Amino acid sequence: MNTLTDRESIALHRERVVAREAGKIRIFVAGGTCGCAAGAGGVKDALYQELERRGLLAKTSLKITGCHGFCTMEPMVLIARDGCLRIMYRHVRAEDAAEIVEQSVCDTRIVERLVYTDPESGEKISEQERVPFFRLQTRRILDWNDHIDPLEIDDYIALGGYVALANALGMPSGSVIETLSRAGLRGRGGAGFPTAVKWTLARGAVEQNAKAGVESAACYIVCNADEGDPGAYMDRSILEGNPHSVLEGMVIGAHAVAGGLACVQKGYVYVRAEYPMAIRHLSRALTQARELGLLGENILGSGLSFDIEIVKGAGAFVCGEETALLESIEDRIGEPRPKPPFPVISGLWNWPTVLNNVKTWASCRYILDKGAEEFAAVGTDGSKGTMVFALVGKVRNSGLIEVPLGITLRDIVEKIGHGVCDGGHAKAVQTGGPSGGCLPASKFDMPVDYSSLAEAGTIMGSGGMIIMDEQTCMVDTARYFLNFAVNESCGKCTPCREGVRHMHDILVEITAGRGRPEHLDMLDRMGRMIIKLSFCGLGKTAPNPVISTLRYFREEYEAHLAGKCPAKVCTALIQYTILETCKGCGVCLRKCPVGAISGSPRELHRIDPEQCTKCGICRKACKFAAIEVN
Amino acid sequence: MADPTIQLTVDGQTVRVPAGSTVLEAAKACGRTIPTLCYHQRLDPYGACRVCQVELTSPGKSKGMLVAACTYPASEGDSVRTDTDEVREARRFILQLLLARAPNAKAVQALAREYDVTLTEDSPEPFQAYLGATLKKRMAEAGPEGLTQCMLCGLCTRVCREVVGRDAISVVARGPNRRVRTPFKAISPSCIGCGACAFVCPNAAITITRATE
Repeated sequence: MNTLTDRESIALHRERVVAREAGKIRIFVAGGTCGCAAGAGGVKDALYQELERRGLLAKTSLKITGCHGFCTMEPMVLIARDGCLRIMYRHVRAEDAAEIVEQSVCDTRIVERLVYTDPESGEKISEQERVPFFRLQTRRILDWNDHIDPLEIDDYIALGGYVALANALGMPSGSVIETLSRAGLRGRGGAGFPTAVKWTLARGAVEQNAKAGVESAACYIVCNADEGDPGAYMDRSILEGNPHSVLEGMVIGAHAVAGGLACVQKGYVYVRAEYPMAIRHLSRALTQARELGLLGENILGSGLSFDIEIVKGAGAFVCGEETALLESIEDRIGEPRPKPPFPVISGLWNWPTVLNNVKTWASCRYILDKGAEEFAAVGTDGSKGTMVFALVGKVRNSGLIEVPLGITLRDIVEKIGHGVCDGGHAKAVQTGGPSGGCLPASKFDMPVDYSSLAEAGTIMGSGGMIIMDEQTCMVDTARYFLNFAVNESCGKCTPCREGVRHMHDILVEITAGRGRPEHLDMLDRMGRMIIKLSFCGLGKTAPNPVISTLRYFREEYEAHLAGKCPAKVCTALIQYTILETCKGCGVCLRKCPVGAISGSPRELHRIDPEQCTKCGICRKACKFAAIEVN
Repeated sequence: MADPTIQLTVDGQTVRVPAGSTVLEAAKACGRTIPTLCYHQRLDPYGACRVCQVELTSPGKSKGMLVAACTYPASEGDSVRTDTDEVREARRFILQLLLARAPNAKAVQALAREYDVTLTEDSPEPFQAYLGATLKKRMAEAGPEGLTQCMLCGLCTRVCREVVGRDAISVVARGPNRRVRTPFKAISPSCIGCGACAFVCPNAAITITRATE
């Protein structure tokens, strides 16, 4: 591979790559971790064999890409021809390969049975852009995931990758930061701190060291990819599908923060060891970027020398907290450090350190490519641009979505998510994972932006969004998140280690039917104290799931005190009974794993409440809806 | 260059301290006492016990905030209050939690008395009554001497690392399961038997015995 030695060589390299692929029919198989689990690997192999058998390999380009986002439709295949909209096939199996190649590659026909069907109108929609799930999004960070083989840097460059870096290197460092400031980018890791302010503070600290002639001064650029919220996979999917967008953002950051100043620069991506594919793709991306001269000494002839190393996290949620993450990189126990001093002033090995989330780095790339105005064209006054959410829970279209900030929760849930599974109603939306809160349906018309979410008692968070329906018990949900926090607290400070544990224990009492009226105010007061007194962000946000559910769903807590679980989830408070309509078919009797059901054929059966574990298998198995839960 | 000293007020009293001092050091400089459990003047600030809460109002801010005095750096013009109702309530909350964990820890007991913290089932405060009930249950299971004397202040592990220069003991496990242990609960190969950990422990939770091979 030829090394790219100046900014102009990016464009030349791109021309070469585009010319190489020109005129080919491009076939993309969505193969993130989710797609692979659904069978994308087999689909790709079958498509390859079929193309080979027909001698079409030279005319086509078959790629396995990262996640496209529409999880419920995996495995997905896209077929793109010059001048045509992309055909999208969903729920593709290896056996479908021959038909797909025959109809849509050799010919321009559509395989109707593999096309997305609109559940309302029954209309078959074959083009990806017209499928409501995609049409209603604003995909800026995710869209390249559809077309890139993440193991090939040329795929990234073909779409315009590293143009942003060339642009940035052509600007003075101050102008790069000023561009981010005009864009209004705020940190996408959760807290929403203005990125330009963070970088300015860091640059100030680096300048001060340079002025003072500090010996062997250093500065670090860190990507926080320690995504640990239950149900969240935004950062993983970006690293898996488009690792270069993150790397490019980090090199831009290195130039902005310390470009032209005497100091050693180094980058780290801190990523969970539980993300093997992300690590594999990232490692390969680093190697290829180095080979092309996009990392290393004198990048694109600018004088900037910068390289990036991967650090694998051992799976502690607290290491997503910025100072604990730094401790972990320094080979110490992942426990937070006191702030101030903030990492921008004194971070890794006490040098100025800029730490941003995966999506923030990818957004920097977008801004330096398309410009601040384009980025800020969507969003609200205080929250510009788009946000990537992992839309999960009781929603029909679960998946990875990118929406303009300011969109309402209702649009996300009802239009993009297409409502709740099994015809239920959305009761609550949980954002921000264990650090966030639950918003009730009455707040669904609220815009999704940093300040509105905070006022309503939750946080933007890193992008987890869980939809809950009437069958979700809010007390049990709060207990679940507190249990997570108890297990993930590092245990350094008293309020988080002891306080969250006591809150959890009280929630266990309430869900077990042993709650007492004074427990509710006690939970609220403890939560507020823990928020005020905890050492780091984990403890300062851990009570949010309880405080927000107490605020919006207090009646559910009160029902539990009165011995009822309205969602019929808490096993201590529910009972299964067989109604008179029982036909005595015996299905439930055979299915019951603990032998709690008795009865003769064609006679009314009965459940022994002593033995029943309330697993609900009998109720699901009954064809006559004769089993009731109360 | 930054001014080598800064001036602030602690409970209305003006004090000048070297730049880089913590709020706790500034308070000490003018003779104010702030309760601490994990602080030691020979060790790096740790900020774990959270009992040293004070109310700090930065210049230009209308509202104060609670900060841990032992780690929070004092700044020019800060106004610190060490004994407001909010501060007292915060310290009581921390002491209630610590006493429930380590009812036999002498340092916790002493501060708990000072702050009128008693964990009994019949306490008029619902939270104290709740903790009292759980404590009674745990005591019944473990016996009065069976409960830990360790309040997890980390003085022992830090003195071993920062002063002695060894890592013979460390905290292990996470969250409520956090404990101080030697590696793999065996005789620590790097322990020199200096006894600094036992000496620094305010709760006599560490005893030194001769290792037999």
